[in-house]
Amino acid sequence: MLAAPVILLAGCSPQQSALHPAGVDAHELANLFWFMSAAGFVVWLIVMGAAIYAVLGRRKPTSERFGDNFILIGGVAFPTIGLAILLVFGLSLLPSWGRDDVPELRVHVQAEQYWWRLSYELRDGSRLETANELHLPVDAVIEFALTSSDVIHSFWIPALGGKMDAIPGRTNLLRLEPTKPGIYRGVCAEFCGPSHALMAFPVEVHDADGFAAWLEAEQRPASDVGSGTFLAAGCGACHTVRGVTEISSIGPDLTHLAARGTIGAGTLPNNADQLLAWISSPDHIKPDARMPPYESLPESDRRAIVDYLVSLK
Amino acid sequence: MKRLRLLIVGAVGAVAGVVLLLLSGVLNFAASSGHWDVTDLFFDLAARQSVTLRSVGIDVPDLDDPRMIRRGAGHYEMVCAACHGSPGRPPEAFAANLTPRPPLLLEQMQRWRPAERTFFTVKHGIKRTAMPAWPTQLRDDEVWEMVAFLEAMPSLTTDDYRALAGDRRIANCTNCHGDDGRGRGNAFPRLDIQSSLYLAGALRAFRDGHRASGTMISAASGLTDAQIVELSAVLGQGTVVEPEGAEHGRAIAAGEVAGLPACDSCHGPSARPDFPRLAGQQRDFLIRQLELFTTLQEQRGGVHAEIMSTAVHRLTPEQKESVADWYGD
Repeated sequence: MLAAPVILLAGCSPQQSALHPAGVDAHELANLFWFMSAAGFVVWLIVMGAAIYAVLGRRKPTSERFGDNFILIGGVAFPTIGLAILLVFGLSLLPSWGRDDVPELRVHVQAEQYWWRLSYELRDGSRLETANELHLPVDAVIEFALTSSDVIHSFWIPALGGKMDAIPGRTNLLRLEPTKPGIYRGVCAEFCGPSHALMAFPVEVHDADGFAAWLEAEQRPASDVGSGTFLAAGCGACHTVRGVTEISSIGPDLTHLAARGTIGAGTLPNNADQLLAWISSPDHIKPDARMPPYESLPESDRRAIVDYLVSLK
Repeated sequence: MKRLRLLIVGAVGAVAGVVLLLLSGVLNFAASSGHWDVTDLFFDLAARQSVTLRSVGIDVPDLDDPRMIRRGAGHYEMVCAACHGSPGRPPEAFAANLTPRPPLLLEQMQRWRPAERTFFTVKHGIKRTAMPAWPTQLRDDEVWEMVAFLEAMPSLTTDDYRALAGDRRIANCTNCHGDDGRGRGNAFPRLDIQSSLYLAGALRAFRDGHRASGTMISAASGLTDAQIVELSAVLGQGTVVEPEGAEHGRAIAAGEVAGLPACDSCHGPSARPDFPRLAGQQRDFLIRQLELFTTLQEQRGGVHAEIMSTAVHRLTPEQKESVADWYGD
């Protein structure tokens, strides 16, 4: 009995809510929503009032002139003017075309079934690759260059702004400007396969110092202490751990995996037990995930791999 | 009305008679008593027609590859020769006491034509005879090798046959894989490059029927865990072979081709000892295993089959050839 309302209320958590804006675009979208809703409510009241009057109001016939005017004003003038006002308000929120000002940060996002490859453009032009957890500075214009390696996905952080499709073979640009530090949740907003609903990412908006500290920490290479079992099991065939194995980047970069809040792209909390479950059988947690199951390795070896992953702060 | 009653009484009586015949034990099912000619005729005809009907539409591959004949010969000596005889050696004595009696294939192979009927018989066996089905229904490639050998057998001399098949009374493993474990006649996989840990896992998988190979299921059946450890220790030498070959294959193995996992990560010298080594392996064997992982996926079996069956889908047929060229011998 209690469960249903609790589940419904979970939808109200502000991490993934367009009604709790924490970015410039999200504010504008929320304003648009409230303005449209209010205007819609007023129109609804007028129409309902007219309907009630027509049924219960006075019975005396009205003049033909009154009827003509009523139709002209209520049926033509009022909708035209009302809709025009709403349209102008809505169009005013369209992003301007071809902005040539330089954003303060550019992040390349490649959506893949079913995770997010994130690559930060650094000041010196080099790239810093990470995955599945977005860290952003507050009060900065950030440009996301969105693309996809397989099917059409859509990049959406409801608390920060609108969504945009990530389409294979082309790059779409989306700009966001967070205004409030905090932890939010982004999602894939275009059905992309069986695990579409499990393709999310936490977003942490830092103050300027906090972001600089994160960026610095993220650039440090990892330690290879305890990596023996991890490497011998062939994990490096798909994953990069900078400073330890850099052969391949088919799967998510794991250099600072332990610093992330979730695994499996926002699917599970990041701890040793969940990591063990994940490497044993990713497909059970996330149907159609590309990673092979390592259940056939002895449990002690799987635990040794998890121990190493947990050390990748 | 009277007629109907007579009919009913007759039918019930007939059914009761049959039931009584079965329950009384009068029918002799002893193998030593043989069959009446009419029973033989009935079952022979039924089996023959069943095979003929069901083998319609089976495509026969090229059966002339001498390596196919060699692989078929190894299995024949290990499993079939005891009942059907082989060039230079009659069947074991017990075969004469089976009813129906297994045909001497050396003389009778001509009756088992064309090849698709032989294939169907070898793959599926024959009911109510001693003829078993192939140990796995997933490996038509192995069955065709047996057919290739059976077609060639009548023309083999005793020496030819021994050269091809070895002698099961001497050694089961080395007959095919060679005394040094390097595989004879370039037809069998090398074992010396593997670790004993890997070979033990593979043998257990074959013995328990988890890995799909009719030949190896037969070869490993009945091995105890202790025997498997002993055999693996002898055969798994961990010989390291430096791969050599085309640049494209090297690049794939090293993980330099975008989107392909590095083969070396799991199959190179520093990978887990219970993962198979590929360098120096027989080339055709590598190609075939890649195909089996692709078509059978995890049903191909083996300890770590699920890992490989996930990874193999990224390889195109050309890339499989390149990788086999690189690692293979």
